Amino acid sequence: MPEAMLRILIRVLLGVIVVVPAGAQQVTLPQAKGSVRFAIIGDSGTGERAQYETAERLRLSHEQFPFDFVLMMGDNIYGSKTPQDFQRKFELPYKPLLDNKVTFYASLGNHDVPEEQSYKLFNMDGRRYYSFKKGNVRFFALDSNYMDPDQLTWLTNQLQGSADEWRIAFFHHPLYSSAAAHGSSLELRGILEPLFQQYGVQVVFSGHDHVYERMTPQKGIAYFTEGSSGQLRRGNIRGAEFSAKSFDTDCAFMLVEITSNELYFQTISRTGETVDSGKVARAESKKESVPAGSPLQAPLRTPPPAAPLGSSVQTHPQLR
Amino acid sequence: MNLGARVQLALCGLLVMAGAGRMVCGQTAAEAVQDKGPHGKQERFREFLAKVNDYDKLRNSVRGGIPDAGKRATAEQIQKHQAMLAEKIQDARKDAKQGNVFTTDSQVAFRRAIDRAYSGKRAKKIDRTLVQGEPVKLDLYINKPYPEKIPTTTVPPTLLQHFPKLPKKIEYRIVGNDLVLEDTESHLVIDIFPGAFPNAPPHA
Repeated sequence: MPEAMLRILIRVLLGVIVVVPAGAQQVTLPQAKGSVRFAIIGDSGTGERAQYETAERLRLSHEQFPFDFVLMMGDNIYGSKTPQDFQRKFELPYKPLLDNKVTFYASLGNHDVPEEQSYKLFNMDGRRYYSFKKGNVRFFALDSNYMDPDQLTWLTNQLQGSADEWRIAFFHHPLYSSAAAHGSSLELRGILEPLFQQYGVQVVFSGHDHVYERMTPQKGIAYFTEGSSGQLRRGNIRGAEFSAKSFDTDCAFMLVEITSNELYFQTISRTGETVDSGKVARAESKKESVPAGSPLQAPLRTPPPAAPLGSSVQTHPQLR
Repeated sequence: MNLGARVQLALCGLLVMAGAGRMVCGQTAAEAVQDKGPHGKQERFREFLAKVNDYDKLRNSVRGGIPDAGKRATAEQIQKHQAMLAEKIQDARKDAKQGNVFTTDSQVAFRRAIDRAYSGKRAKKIDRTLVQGEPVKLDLYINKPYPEKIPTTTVPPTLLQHFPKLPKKIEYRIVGNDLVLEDTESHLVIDIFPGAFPNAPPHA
């Protein structure tokens, strides 16, 4: 069956024509010359309406902010994993981006199967965990389903050998989360966070909980959860001391831009609303300890309801 | 305290004094010491590892003639490789029974490893990891596929530190109260240790 027909058929079967409401989306990232630009989606692979609509919003964002790649926080393909599922739950919703040569880098969630590491469009090159470099940034994709000693040794060696200005880790299970469904992965935190601290990982992205949440910096590390790019647990955020901003009333994704000294982010909902934005300042030294609260600063040319980072959070009706 | 224990204690003390007593890759120096030597982890699981390696050799031997999916495959290639490999392994292991790999002695070794993990400082967090990993209860059968629609429960890292290292593309799974060995390349269940976790948290 021709791809176009298949796409139409799937949409008919879904009982919807994917129509994205005309929200007042405005990408406010600086788009500095030479910056590293990417998007983040998590828990996306449902093949359902919410995923398609969020993917369409991501495509619209790409028109304003032409990011080069997308980080996937896991649960990339829910349920069955036939070739048709890979089409319906990944290739079709993100086809416009794939056609525009946007590269996807996946990490594995608990709904994924390890063989996804060999799926070429996930760019894992047959590895459960891997690292890659973009500009001045080294990314570490981890398999938090199965954090065995080999992976920890690999991570330690990789971090030791990294002289990159930015070190960013991403994986499925959040070390900090105030969502009711899963919450913080404490055992994993006890193992990974000391490594992140010791070797200067500045930012960590995760999924698993189907919400968006930004934490206040923990031990100098900025933590984000983005697990709502295809699934949503409405009203699931319970709030916690470490939670700086959260959004659990619609699906969302993140846009990120990294310059030499700053990481800018903007979180956008399925309807095009900016639900969070701001920047993370890079710590000077690899092994330097960064006081909690210091690396996150107020947002730049940010429209409402963007919130200043750190302990102070602007109130917004949709945010808890 | 016998001489061996004194030596081990003294060695741990020296390591702590040297600053190596801190966590290294999530493992304490004392645990690291336990994993080496004639009574180390790999030795305690010698029989189990021999059985697992036999399985790995069998899997390698039946790979001939199956198109390799490679590292950058299409979904079709991945599915085809998995299905063909599973069929060949199922043929080669058609007489496989529960306990072929998790032998009685191996089960004792795993039980001790689990007890050790649960008696450590991360004991409370192990169960929390299991709960957060969406624990499942389902009927699995030796030499049959692990259903791909069912999420896999996160294997607590602390347990993985106490279990022996497996060949590539073979992983531990925790399903209900059972410890399961899965071939992640073919999706087949290699063996099951029923009731390995008698006090596992409730599952969905």
